[in-house]
Amino acid sequence: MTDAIYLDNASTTALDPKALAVMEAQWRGKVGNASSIHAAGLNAALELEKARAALAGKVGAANPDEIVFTAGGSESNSLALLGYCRANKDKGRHLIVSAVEHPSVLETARQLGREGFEASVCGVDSLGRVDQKEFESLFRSGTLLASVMHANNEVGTMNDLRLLGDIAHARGAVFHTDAVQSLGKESFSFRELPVDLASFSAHKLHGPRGIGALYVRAGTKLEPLTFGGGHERGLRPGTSNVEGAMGFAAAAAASQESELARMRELRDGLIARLKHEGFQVNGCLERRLCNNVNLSFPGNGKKAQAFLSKRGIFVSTGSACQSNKNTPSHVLVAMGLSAQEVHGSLRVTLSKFTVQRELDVFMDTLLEFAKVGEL
Amino acid sequence: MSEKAPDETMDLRGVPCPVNAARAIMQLALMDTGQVLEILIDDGEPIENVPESVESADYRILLRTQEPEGHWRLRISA
Repeated sequence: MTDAIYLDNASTTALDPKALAVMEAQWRGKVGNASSIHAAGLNAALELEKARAALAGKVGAANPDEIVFTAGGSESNSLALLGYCRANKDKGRHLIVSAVEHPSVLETARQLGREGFEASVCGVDSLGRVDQKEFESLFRSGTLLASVMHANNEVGTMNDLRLLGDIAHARGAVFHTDAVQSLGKESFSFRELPVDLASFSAHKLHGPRGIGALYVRAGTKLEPLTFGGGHERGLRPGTSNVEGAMGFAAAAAASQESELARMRELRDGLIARLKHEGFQVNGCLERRLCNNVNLSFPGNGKKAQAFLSKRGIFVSTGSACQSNKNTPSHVLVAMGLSAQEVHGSLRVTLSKFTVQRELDVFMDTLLEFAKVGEL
Repeated sequence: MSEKAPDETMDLRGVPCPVNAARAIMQLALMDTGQVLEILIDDGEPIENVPESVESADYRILLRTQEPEGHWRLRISA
């Protein structure tokens, strides 16, 4: 489908040609397990460590050892919550998560509940921002960890990591953030931020699917989720995905500030046009991911998605992990949207490859959907 | 024995093979020719493999001593 218009980049993104090139060269030309001690193994280990150092630089880690490669964002979130709480259960049994977290955080918190921990869920305001006062009030003696995402995957609203991380640290808890959506779209440095654990996924920023990373600040004690080897400092046993790590690093390096500004302009233009046509835009307009537009209309979001899909335009009605379930978006519900506003919502997410013409076609097709009475 | 003080140091104790050698080679690649990197590595597999790996990347070992605690100190010329 060469003319397809892909506007579901919060779900996954097209591979950056630079990422493909480095991975293809490694796959075609080289063999070697990064744990083998012969020359081929050393070459693989060199590539893996270069990728680790590059990612460490990208996120402002103090040391490449603070980057642990995983299979993706969900695994990173699970490792952060389960790994930290299990390793520190002698210090407490309580954690805090926000109500709009990705299911891989919320479900992991539920799993910890089955293991004798207690999770408090912090609400958000109507724009999707964590309620600071409620967040502060939830800490208690024995709170081990607080987890608040940097940018929400459905509405793009960004949280203030400095503010929330300082609150967690002042109360003796570590602070985890799911930065899967923000890496490559926002600049940040963990040298400057009060963040102890942060999750990433390569395929959200034009890297390959199947690889992610967890930032683990030095001194943060975790237990592994799997066993059987010393890979990734013993935190993630298994043969290293060298090609994936190389593609991840190449994709992260390829994200440019100029592209973000261009995406922001496209996003703002689309938001302005949607508002002009009478659509409601959900989430925070000021502190929002540069590629996210979430809208509501008095109709059926799933029907709109299908109408657009038949015409080669791909958007989402929620996060990819939830849109195949007949449950309303927990994010929009937590923001206090009405049942109709949730029912009639669509998520449109841009990438650095998106062009104005594609947004024009999307908008015209959405209006066509409205005109035929489907709204 | 090298009399020159190291320009950079890396503690690679606890880092498994071949990641320890890879880290050392990456650091050496960032240094100017003639500068000296000092690394600490564990006894056993690391001391059996790291010197050879570093030399295979065309760097020269200047010093190799075992410390009383059992680990090894290597000085390598970039």
